[in-house]
Amino acid sequence: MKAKEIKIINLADKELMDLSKKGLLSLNLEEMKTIQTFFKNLERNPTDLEIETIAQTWSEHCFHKTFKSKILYKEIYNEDFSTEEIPSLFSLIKKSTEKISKKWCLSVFKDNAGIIEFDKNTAIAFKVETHNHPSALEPYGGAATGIGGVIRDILGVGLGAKPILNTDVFCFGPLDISFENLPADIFHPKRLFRGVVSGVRDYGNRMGIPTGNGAIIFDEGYIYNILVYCGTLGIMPKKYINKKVSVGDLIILIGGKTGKDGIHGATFSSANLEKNIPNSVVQIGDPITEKKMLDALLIARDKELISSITDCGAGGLSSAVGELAQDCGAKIFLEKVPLKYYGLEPWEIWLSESQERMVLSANKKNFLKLKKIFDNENVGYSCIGEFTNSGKLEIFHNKDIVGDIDLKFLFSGIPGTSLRANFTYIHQPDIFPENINFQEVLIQLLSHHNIASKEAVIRQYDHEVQSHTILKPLAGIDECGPLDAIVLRPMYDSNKGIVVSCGINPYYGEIDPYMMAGCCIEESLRNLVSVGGNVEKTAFLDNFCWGNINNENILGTLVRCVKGCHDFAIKYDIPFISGKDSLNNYYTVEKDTISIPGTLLISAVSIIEDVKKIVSSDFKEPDSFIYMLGITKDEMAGSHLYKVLNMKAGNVPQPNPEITLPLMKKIRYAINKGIIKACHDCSEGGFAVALSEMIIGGGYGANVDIEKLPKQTDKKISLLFSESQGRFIVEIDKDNSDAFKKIFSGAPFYCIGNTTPDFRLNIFFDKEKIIDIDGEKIKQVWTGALKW
Amino acid sequence: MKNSPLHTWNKKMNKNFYIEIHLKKNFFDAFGDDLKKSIIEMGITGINNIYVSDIYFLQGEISKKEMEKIAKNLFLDSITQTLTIYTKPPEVHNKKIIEVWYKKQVSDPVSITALKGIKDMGINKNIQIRCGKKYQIDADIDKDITETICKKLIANTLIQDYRIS
Amino acid sequence: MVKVLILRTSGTNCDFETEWAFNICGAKAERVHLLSIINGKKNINNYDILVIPGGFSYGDDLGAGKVFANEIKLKIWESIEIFKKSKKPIIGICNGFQVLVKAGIIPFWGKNSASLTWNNSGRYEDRWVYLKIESSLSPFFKNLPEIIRLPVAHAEGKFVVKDKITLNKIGKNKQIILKYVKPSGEISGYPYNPNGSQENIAGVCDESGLIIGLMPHPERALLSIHLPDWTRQKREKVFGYGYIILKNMVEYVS
Repeated sequence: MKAKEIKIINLADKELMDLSKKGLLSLNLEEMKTIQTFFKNLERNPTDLEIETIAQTWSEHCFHKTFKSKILYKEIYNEDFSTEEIPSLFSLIKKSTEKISKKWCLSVFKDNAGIIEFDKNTAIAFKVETHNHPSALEPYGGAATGIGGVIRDILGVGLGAKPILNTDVFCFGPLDISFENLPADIFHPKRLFRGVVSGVRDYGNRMGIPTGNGAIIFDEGYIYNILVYCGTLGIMPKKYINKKVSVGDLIILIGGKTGKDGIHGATFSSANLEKNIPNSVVQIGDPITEKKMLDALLIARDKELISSITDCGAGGLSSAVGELAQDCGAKIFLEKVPLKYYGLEPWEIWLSESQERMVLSANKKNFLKLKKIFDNENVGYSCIGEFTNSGKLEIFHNKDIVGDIDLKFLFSGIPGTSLRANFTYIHQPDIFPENINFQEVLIQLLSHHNIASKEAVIRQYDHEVQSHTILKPLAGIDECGPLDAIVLRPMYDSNKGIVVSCGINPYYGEIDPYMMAGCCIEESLRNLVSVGGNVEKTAFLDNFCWGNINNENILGTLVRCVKGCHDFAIKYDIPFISGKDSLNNYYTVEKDTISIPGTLLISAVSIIEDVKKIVSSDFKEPDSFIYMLGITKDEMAGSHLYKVLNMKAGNVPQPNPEITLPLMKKIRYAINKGIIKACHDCSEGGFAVALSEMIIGGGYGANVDIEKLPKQTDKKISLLFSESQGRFIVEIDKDNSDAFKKIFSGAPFYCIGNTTPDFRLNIFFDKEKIIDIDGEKIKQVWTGALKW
Repeated sequence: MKNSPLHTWNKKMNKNFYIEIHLKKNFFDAFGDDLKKSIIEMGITGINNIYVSDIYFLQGEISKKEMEKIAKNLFLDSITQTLTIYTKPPEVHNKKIIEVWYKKQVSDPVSITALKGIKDMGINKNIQIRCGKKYQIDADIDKDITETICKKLIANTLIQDYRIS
Repeated sequence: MVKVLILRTSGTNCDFETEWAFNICGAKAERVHLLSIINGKKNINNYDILVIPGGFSYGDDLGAGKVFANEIKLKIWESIEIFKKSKKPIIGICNGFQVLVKAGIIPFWGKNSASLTWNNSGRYEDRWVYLKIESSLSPFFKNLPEIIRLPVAHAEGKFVVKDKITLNKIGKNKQIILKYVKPSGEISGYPYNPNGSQENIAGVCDESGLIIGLMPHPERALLSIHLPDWTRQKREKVFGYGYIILKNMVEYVS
């Protein structure tokens, strides 16, 4: 089959846009005109393959146009406003990492994943991706291919890392909404929830990678557009963190065969959910093909047979080969690509997003050795071309030239854009609900699906394959208590460990995305500090999922959030090492668009020296002291209490790195000294929920007086349910009390009570008993609320 | 039959087989039970039982004897399951049977494994396999409800075809 | 030195930790691809212990372990028979257990007398279970308390037998080695029996006791810090129960 000529050089503006729309190119007029001018100068029209390649490369999904655009940003506060020109959101985040400058950051923002040092010879790579649109259309297949894709990111970082952990964070609509209120083209949240979890389960478990850290949020804002974040952490020898293509190296395609799958996936995922979707955008996963590829690639890497590798993700071969050839050039022979079936046009072969494929480069002399490995592991492969020094992608199909693309134009020809964004501060007055039955509200919070135990999901994931998992997602008595972070011991002969946690809370972002960034950053840190993580050797990933950013006000909230990431990263002294954005998550109803709440996920990874020193959140013994660390304030906006009460009022929590960062370092010191027996942070639902969770895991009761909490409020409701940042509840042996006080001198802390043999939660305010619930009741409510 | 691979019955190759693998009645049908719960959650009443079985549609140059060998040794777990081989498309029922298949352009790893398994048995022939699921709903419901159940809970028409018979 | 062959194929995924586990127990373990056995590059009978590790061989498509079991029956049956006749131990863990049962290696050689089928929940489940050691027929379960803890992680782990006669026979022969129990040792339902196994059976052996199949994973319970609640225990012991089982195997051979 030959390539088709696409007549473009003589088209008028309107015709250009028609072409962009009809061809699902998703290019704007300026971009179409840039392409037109480029080909005018060449005195020819592009082929279908060429224009499709450019559209893919310049798509929001591949190129991240919004994050690379210049932005004129305006903040409005009452009558006042300020303006600022931001060179780009991407550069803003990168700037914080440069400023923080940690020498153990080995590769940031350039490869398929961020890489940090683990020990003298070993590095770890971490990446989180999203697969939102495909998962909304086909939850099982979409989520499975999402996890499959991020695993390949890790296989394709440097010369390849071995995946050792998957993470998953999902946002769905509430499970109890009625079928009647849903449009016909939207699946019920329950089907989406079950489908997505099953997809991640079946793919991750088959890959032999434990799935061990995550979160699930249920909210009306995600009824029309769900979010599916999938992450993978990998381990690799440090010497393999760099890749380098040499001219003359072979281009080898390995893994599954190529079909029409996912054509236009990249351009599609940045367009909003349209009603007429070509079915080729959705695929189901084939984990065993990917597992065979994993086995083979790691052998090839260790025998030092490959010079470079990357995955075939969005844009398929065009992106993968394009990226690797960027600084040299390549010749590709499309007839050599193994196909699932006949009838693919050359451009379809080139752009197909069939899963479970990767592209690697190797010196010719290594080919026979590679062939032997691939044959032994029963993996498909084909040599499809070689790298050249032409500065061009020269693409052939059965001797016909079907594409001849200048790489410089492809990667830097995209016209720069300039966007406008506005953010308006919302001030909400402080209002406190009256006549609240604290006990009832606590039960309501514990059974809220965002807070309740995720056991129904967690158990479906293999969280201990590879035998590295030292702190599992559920622990305590009967393995029913929650844990703040997962801990891995990734080497069979060393006790050095990795702690992974996350932070997500879209509710704060509804009021102030800047503080949401701070709170998500802090939550992920609190989670890892609670088990003994080290804030001095921690790195972050950012994942922004946003709504219709063509709306300047929505783009404004994104800018404000990115600013928060930049500022708080510096304040907590934690570098971002990689990230991703998924924009335009909105749904069109007639002329309206419904955007998701701007949602930031922070994933954190920390290195610890000795996994044997970690602690879990469950109370360990009766009759220990319970201490509260950190100050409670009236910070109720965005809290789960107000969500349960359906109220919008008050201030959103503000992180205080000046107090919290030193506190976190002290906690780690005390955990390492064996002084802290249990530690849990206060997050969704505040103090009362955190304390309940420690009881559930421990099987012992607690007797506490909230009047004694370090605080800047006297309101019982705030003391129980405010989500003020920087707070931890810890259990201390009575004998260690003095040592504890010595370590924490200067920090805000107070002994608020003790654990009890009686499995019961008693909370006093001074002499007044305000909560008195049987431990079994708490356990039953919290563990039983979220059903499969 | 239009929305099903069965419409190619006898059109393509000389032999066609439809294999159904059922769970023996004394074993608990976890998938049927699960689906039943979901249907009840939707507010649909009158469901007694649901039976889920695996179905395979094979086309190729294989004899009935070979087909039996493949079905017995590869598809069937004789301890827990029983097997029916149809040499004609199964008859129309009372509108309470749903068959779901992946669309042709969706590559299904199970059928690839099945082909490998057949090859392992020494049968090196040109065979095409489509794998599917069959849901037999024992209930007092009409076709519209069956259709709703199918669309809302079972099939995704983006990647699957279904047939109610 | 005891040589352990860890037989892997497409979709095997517990091979690395199983290799590590046997190495810690003092053996020399080697991960070998089934293709290398089939094409004669490696010979099973040059090893002392044969392990079929956990995972999802061929994706568990067409039933867990089924395609792998068929390959064993059709392609390497004779070598396995020689191995068995030399009274060398064979262990199948999780997917390996499914393979051994579906290939007709256990509970009775050459017979299709049992199966491992879908959990009653219809889903994959990962949880730690309490197990009662039921029989001393297999020599690999000595030096252990009566009740031990190991994790299970599977979707198709419900052990069922062909008929009552088979059940009586494996009972009488003492071929049932592990049963799912409550911490107190009593037989109980879900979640203590995580999959609905007949008679709560978690592991069986052949008539000699040398070929064993376990749904629980000893290689995931090698160290005391593998226990899900180790942070609640006194931190003294180094090894978990899984270590003792595998060590018993290695010592039996040496």
